[in-house]
Amino acid sequence: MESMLDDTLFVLLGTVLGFISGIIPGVGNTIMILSSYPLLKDASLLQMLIYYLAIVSSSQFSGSVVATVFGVPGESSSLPAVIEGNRMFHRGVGNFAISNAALGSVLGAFVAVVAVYSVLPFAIELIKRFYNNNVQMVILILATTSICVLMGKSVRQNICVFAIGILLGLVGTNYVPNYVFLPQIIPYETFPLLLTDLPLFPIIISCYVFPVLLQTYSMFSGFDAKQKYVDNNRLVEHIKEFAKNISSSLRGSVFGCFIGLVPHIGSSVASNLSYAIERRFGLNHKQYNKNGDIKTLVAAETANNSTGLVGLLPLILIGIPISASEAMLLGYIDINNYDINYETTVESGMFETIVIWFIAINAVSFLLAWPLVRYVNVLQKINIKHMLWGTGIALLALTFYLGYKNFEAVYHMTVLVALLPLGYWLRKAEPMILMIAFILQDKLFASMHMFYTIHFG
Amino acid sequence: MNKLLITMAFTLLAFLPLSANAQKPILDVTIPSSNKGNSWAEGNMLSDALKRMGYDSEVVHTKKCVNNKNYMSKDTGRPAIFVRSAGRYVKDESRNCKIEITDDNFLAVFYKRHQTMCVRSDASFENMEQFLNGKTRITVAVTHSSVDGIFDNLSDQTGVRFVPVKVKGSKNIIKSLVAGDTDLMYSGFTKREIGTDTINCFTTSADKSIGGRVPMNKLFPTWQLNETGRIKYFHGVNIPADRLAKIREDLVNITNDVKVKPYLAKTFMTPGSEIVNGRQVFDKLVATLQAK
Repeated sequence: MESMLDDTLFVLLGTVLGFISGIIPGVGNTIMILSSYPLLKDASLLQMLIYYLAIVSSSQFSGSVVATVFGVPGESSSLPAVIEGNRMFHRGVGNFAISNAALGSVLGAFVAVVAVYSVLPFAIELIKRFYNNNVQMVILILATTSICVLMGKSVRQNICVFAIGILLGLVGTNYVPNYVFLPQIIPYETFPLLLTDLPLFPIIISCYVFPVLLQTYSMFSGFDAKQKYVDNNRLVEHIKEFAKNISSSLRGSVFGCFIGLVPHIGSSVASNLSYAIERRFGLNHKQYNKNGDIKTLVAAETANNSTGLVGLLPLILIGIPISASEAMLLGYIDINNYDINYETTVESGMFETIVIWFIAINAVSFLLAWPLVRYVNVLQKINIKHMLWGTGIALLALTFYLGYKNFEAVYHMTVLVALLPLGYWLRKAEPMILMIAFILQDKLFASMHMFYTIHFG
Repeated sequence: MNKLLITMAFTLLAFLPLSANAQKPILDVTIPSSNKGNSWAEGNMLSDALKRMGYDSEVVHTKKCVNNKNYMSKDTGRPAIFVRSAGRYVKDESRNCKIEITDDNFLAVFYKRHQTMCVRSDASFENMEQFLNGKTRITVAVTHSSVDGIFDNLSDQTGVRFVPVKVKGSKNIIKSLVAGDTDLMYSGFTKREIGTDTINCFTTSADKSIGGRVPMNKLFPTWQLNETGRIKYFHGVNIPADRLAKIREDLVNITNDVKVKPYLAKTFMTPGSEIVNGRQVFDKLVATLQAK
């Protein structure tokens, strides 16, 4: 009973914080998960997973509100909402854009549950029969290669960022293969704590949060929103409008379920591809509205939310994250020494609980989104510069606190400060690539080393 | 006057538990490893056993060797112990985390745990000769902390190359074997190995057969590790000289504790109290591990 109560609190908190992360520009899911470390450090595996799902799902609802009203994408998956939603907002029907995106998101979540349950038995059977080190190595190489090829503007720059992440991950003692990295160059004698590896939290702050906050700041410079959000329509009118677009929503759901599994960019590709296909469909049938098209918006937003649960499958089944926020979550799961795979999640019966919570989270988010959207105009009064400074200072204090708790405050702060110049440079790159490389480095190298030993050793 | 008496009584009551606790000898248990797995469970079990023996004992989770070393260098005012295996000692040395063993800090041997070798239970394993027959190379999942070249001698003896495949964590050793990454696994003989029905552990490093498992010294008579188990000892931290003898005695007797004794018996471990010349046995094992 007590555990159930704790789980409920995690879900409620995750839902509220996810809502905030979607609605406040620049915060984002990854930063929200990151800031949640004090909460997650003693949490159970189930609590970590449902908390994560609550943040990811609820932020989808509020994220589309910001994209529609302000025309600012919280994440790359919100681009269709920025284009179509914002156009609808400017012609006075932004309320329908928001309500249909929310209803589409709910439908997408339900379709995702059905899709996941359909493939789960086959997926587990496949893993049991064929998942060994060779397969794991191939998945890790494909996942890491895909982020270097698919993300950002320059593959060469991505490879460089990836290599830096790997190098940072190598510092200290490595276990498989077992060795200390560059003992002649790195002053382990003078700074013995370096032997314990570079601490995750300060690295995330310097090399992910700092550049992302800088990127967000530049995105919002010159931002000005004068038009107010109003909604004078009744609930039934919104539902009737959605009923007209339900086929677009279902198409988006199917895309989301398939494409959600593409590493790191699943939700972004699903959302944008759904949008592109629905737009082509609309143009061909002369239904596309150039002043803001609701069908394309609904398809994109539904696809976006379908990826939430589907995208979590690789992490839940084989412990491999396919997005930056999942990588962060895996980092915390590792710190808490939990194993995450189909045995600990599905065969333990935990997955049913996760799915029930996922449905509840979407229902609660939907119910929250509607009344709260009326207050979106308040956001226009927020000073983005102050908010970003506040986020930065809060995370700095959190780094010090966590270091202090581990008797390593000076070490944590030194690492953070030493890596800030790198973070500054990363504002013009994809900092997510560095984080994924840093977190997956030991798994990737262990797999490759095992592969070599098994076949050629 | 009454108020004064009541105040004094309450003050006395408030300090009573503190003074009672203060009279207890202090002996904490530091755990320089993760908070799951055998080391964590053993550390907590020992701390509880020490409490039952009348000590004021707390668990200090130092997580890593380097942190443990830092903790040891601090004057905390609380003497402590930690448990370390011979293999871990060798590995710590090679990783520049040197915590020297002296006569004063080597308090007693905790236990000797036997090693085992296992194959997949569907491997239709009859005996080692049949298993090796026709093979020129065998991959063996071992823990990442095992020293290099442990199977060289075994390869020479059998004419089959035993290739160690290092895996992080004893749980993953079983997984590697079951997934088909390796042909064999070499690991500690624990509850996990005994209780996993997808593997068949056919031999033991004990000098006599255990549960029908053949001793390794019969299978591989000239392998230098055929009787080598995992020896763990109690390392003292900041223990005053005048308390050493008593603590040593208590740590030898701790293997008879109500919780510790069944823990050792369940996985056929030899308690330190039954190992004669524990320090010499430990040093010999370290020398064997360092030689190869």
